[in-house]
Amino acid sequence: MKKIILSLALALTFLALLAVSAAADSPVVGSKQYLYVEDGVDILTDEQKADLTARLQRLSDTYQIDVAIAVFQSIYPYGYSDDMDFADSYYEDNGFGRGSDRSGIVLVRIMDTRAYTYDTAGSCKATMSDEHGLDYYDYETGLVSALKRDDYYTAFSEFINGSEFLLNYEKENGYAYGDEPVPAFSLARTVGSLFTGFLGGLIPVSGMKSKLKTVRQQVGANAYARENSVAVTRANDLYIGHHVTRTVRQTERSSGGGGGHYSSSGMHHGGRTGHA
Amino acid sequence: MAELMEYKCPACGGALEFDPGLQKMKCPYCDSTYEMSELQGKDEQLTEGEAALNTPLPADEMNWNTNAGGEWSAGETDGMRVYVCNSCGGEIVADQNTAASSCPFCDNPIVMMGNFTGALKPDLVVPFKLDKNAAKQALRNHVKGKKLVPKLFSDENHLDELKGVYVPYWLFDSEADADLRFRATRVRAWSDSRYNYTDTEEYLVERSGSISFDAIPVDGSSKMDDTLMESLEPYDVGEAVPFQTAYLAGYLADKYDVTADQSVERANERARKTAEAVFSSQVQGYTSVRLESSSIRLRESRVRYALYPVWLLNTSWNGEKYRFAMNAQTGKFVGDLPVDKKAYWKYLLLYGGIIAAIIYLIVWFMQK
Repeated sequence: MKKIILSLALALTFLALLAVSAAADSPVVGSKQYLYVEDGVDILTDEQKADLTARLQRLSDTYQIDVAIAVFQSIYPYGYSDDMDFADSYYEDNGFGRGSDRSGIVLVRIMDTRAYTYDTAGSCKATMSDEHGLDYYDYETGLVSALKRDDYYTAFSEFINGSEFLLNYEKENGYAYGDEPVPAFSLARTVGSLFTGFLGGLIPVSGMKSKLKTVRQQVGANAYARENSVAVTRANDLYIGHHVTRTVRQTERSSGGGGGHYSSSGMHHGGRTGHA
Repeated sequence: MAELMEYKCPACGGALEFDPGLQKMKCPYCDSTYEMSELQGKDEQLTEGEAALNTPLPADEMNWNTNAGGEWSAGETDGMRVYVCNSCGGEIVADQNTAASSCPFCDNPIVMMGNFTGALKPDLVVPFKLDKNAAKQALRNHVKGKKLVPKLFSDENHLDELKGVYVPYWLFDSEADADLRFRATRVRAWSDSRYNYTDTEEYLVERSGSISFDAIPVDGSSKMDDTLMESLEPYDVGEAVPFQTAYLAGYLADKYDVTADQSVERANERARKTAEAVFSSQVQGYTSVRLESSSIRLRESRVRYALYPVWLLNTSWNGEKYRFAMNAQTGKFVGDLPVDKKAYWKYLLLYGGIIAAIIYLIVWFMQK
């Protein structure tokens, strides 16, 4: 019996070691209730960390989404080369997101490249939309300028304040920031439609008008070529040279914005990466 | 964009470059190497191409035997009268039993000048195959369903003014030998990780052959609009019969006032266009083909003088004159119709409004 218990204990220990070894290759750092602030490089004091964590937790509970912050020295030790891919994995592997659509937003700061990435999922893809909501963080808060001067507590406070503003904006207005309902009447749309309609209307009317014209000069004398009278007596095709031209290929790279993107696991995310 | 080379690699199509170390032509893309002698064949082709380029095609020979028409027999024109229009100067021929009171070309009164004299006797005549009722029905069909035609215009008040007229035509028959020279290109494109490549091969293409034409018609009346008459084509000259004055009974006939010699240019133009189109269609397998030069030489050419049957209607609306014509052999009816501006704007606003409303809704839903 003792041997069996010992064998089970050894097996469990081995499995635990395997799990720890695997965890070292991914940005999973623990259970999420303690990870609203993940400071992997000790840039925040304990007091700052506690304050930010409390505010993030309150915000997350109030709006039933996850709002979190993470700081890493580099993404390369984890086997990543793209900040967005890293943020996607950090979000998914740590189990962020609430509700069936796993709504939430995570701000990931990478120290060596000075990259900062917003990673959104679920309803937050609309609340903090790539087109408008993320612009609010960048241009309407002091987040970016604080990151530039390495004032991380201020930067993350601005992120929390910005998130609260965007969430509250949606709650009060019924639509996300920058996503104002389109009015049924728009002068520009009316003028544009009328102009296009006028041009479009010209097509069928011009067709009707062209049917009134039946007097046309003949181009050739095809109708008078004697049947089977065409005989090709000589056909000569001479190659006289060639030239090659080359142009530089235009390469396209996804910015991670627009309509969002899919992570390697297949989950749909929003977000984008900047440098400051 | 840069010009890179003159020879292409037979293996991959890439640009060959001379490698001084190997003393060979080398392809930087697939590393194939070629002795200069291997590429000599290309040189010979190039030389042949250059020689052909520098050899002009023979000059055009588009001459016609324009001795068309015949002489009238004694007494043959006794029953024919000539009328003259004081307005347009047109001379109209009719038999003595046909009452001719107005000019078929301009609708003004005509007066009898006397017995028919002079002019050539037509070789052929295509008799009227369709009567006035068929012409009336064709005019109704011509207007029917055309929503932009003014309502007043489509009433039938003018229908009785339809006149049957034999219009003089010169018919050109010939065998044509043609030499045509084209510049053609064949384009191939490929890419590597850094560049997009386009290889354009150039060819000198020559086609020679022959084609025969039967009865290319050219209107011999200056009073008939040439474009209107060409719109009535084709006529089937196979149904033409030797001319007899009896065919004029009940119809008017126009005397030619444009000679066969004056009509040669238009016949040549049409024959050339068709020859070029026919032999251009024999050049296939290229990305682009451009005709560079052509030479047309006519053999066994002859011209015949014929009368073709036409129903004519002249009318006016809003101060503008409109002429309609029907090929009285095939029933083909032509004639430009006037546009009712009110109807034009009505339909433009209707269709434009519907399209604008659809676009408005689509844009609205896309913005939502």
